This record gives sequence, structure tokens and C-alpha cells, in this order.
Amino acid sequence: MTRETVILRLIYEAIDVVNEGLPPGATLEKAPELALFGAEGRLDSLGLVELLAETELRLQDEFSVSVSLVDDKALSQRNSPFRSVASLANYAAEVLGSELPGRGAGE
Amino acid sequence: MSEHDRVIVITGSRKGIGRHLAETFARRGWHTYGCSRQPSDLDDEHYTHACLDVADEPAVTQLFRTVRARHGRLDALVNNAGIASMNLAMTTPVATLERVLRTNVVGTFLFSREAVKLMRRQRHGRIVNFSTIAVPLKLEGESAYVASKAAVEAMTSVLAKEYAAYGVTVNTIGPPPIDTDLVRGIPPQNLAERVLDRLAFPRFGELAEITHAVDFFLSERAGMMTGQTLYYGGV
Repeated sequence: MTRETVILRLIYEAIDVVNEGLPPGATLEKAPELALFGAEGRLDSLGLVELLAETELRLQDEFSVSVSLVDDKALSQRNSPFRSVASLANYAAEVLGSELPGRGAGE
Repeated sequence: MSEHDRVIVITGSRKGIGRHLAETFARRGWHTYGCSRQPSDLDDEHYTHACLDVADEPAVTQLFRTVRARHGRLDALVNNAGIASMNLAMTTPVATLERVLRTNVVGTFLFSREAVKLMRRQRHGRIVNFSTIAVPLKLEGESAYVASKAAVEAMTSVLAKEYAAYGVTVNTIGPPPIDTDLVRGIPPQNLAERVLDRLAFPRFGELAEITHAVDFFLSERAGMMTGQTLYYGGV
């Protein structure tokens, strides 16, 4: 299983947790193209924080490394890494890549 | 929920107030996690000690990973770890100021941030921070310490608002001088003139009195009590 696949699975697990707090009909689909934050996004800022916090915890558990997804780098990017599930997954992979150069999932 | 299912993290638990709290909660049967830079000799089946610097982000996240893996929950955090600097500002090195801010402010921020990630899941939690009566007394000769604790009080007010959405309260206790290592370094005459004589009750505080306030903030009925700083001694 590639690191990218693992990251996507962890984000989906985080979505499951966020969905527990959302009313029926407002729950998030587990799809790469799902818009998370921004003009078309499904989450408000509090919801985004919840999703990122849950994702961080899962990344830390899976890869045994301290990960912070919200930093100056993320906030200064022209295209927010939090606009969709796919962009979040790509960004998480990038952050992990700098923390775990050359390591695969679960190593 | 039984006391034996509850989980608490207490920073600076090797000695002083933190040690007393760690002993108390472990004896009650809480799963008690403490930390300090040096090892602890506290021997209790309910107590686990981690040697770390409270401002060391990877070490702190590792501690919370351990709590999460073992219990999947956290009921309370007591940010007790703190260092002081008794020195006039004119002769205080910047390195000292940075060291005090790092332990007292960064440590409190970091532990609170990681704690709420766990507490959020159960929509319930209690965070108790530590300040000092030196803040309202504006004690001369303690600018670094007082500034750091004033920052903790301000942070408490903001975190209380941010964390309320998750059912987590955040409060601060401002103790009087307690007979601990931190206070023993001050000459007795100096302490009496500068601090004790300015209190409505001019005496040292007792550890049991601190525990009483922690218990209050941790209690179920204190669920709407948040963003407060509780001082002792009538300052």
C-alpha cells in the first residue's frame, strides 16, 4: 500500500469522526474531489479544524512522527491545501515527505 | 464514570505542587501521567512518568500518543510545570527570559493543544493552568516570571472560548507562596516583606488548599466555570 493510499484512508477515517457531529443530510462523502473549505467547501472553519486535528492524530499514530498540517506554509499557499480531500492528501504527503524522507507507509 | 476509568496528565509532577497532585490522583485510582525533566521516584501502580521538556513538541506529542493508545480518552490536564526567575529586569539575561517563557507559556500552550484533541472526542474535559499571586501583586524583581504567568492567564481566557465548543473548560489557579523548592530559594525576610504581608491571610498556602481548587475546577458541577483565574490570599 502506498503512502498516498494510506493517507487517503486516514483522511476518510477522520471524515467519519467529523460526520458523527453533523446532522443527517449534511455528512461528508468520502471522495477525493469533495470540496472541504473555501467558496464551494462543505466545512466551516470549526469543522475544518476538527477534520485537520483528527487527520493529524491519525498521521502521527500511523507514521510515528509529529505532524502539523496547519502552519505558515499551508496558510501562505495561493491555492489552499485544504480546498479538497485530494489537495489535503497531497499536502499531507508533502509534509510527511519532509519528516520521513525515503520511508514508506508504516515503516 | 468510576475514578478508575479517569485519566489525568499533570506536568511538573516530580516535586512540589505537581508531585502532591500526582500522588493524590494516583491514590484515588485515576490513570495519572506526569512529567518532568528528571525521573520521578513516585511509585504507584496508577502513575506513569515521562522525562521530557514541556516545550519539546515531539516529546509532548509522543506522551499524548501513549495516553491515546492506552486509554483513548483524557479527562483532565493540569499545567503545573513552571520555573521562576527572581532578578531585577536590568540584570536579567534574555536567555533567562526565553527559558521562563518557554517552560511556562510554550509548555502550557503545547499541552493544552494536544489535550483538547483527545478531550474533544468525548466532548468533555478540564484544563487547569497555574499562575501566581505575583501577577496581581506586580512583584518587582520578577518581571520574567510575572510576564509569563500573565500570558498564561490571557491564554486561559482565549482557550476557554475556543474549547467551549468541545465541552472543555480552561481555568487558572494563582497560588500564594507554598513551601516548595521554588519558594525556598527566596530569603525569608524578603518573602515576608514582599509577598506575605500583602495578603489578607499573611501565611504560606498549603498543598491541600491547592488540591481543593483543582478538585473544584475538575468537578462536574463546574462545567460552566471557564476562563477564570482564582487567586488565593485576598490579593
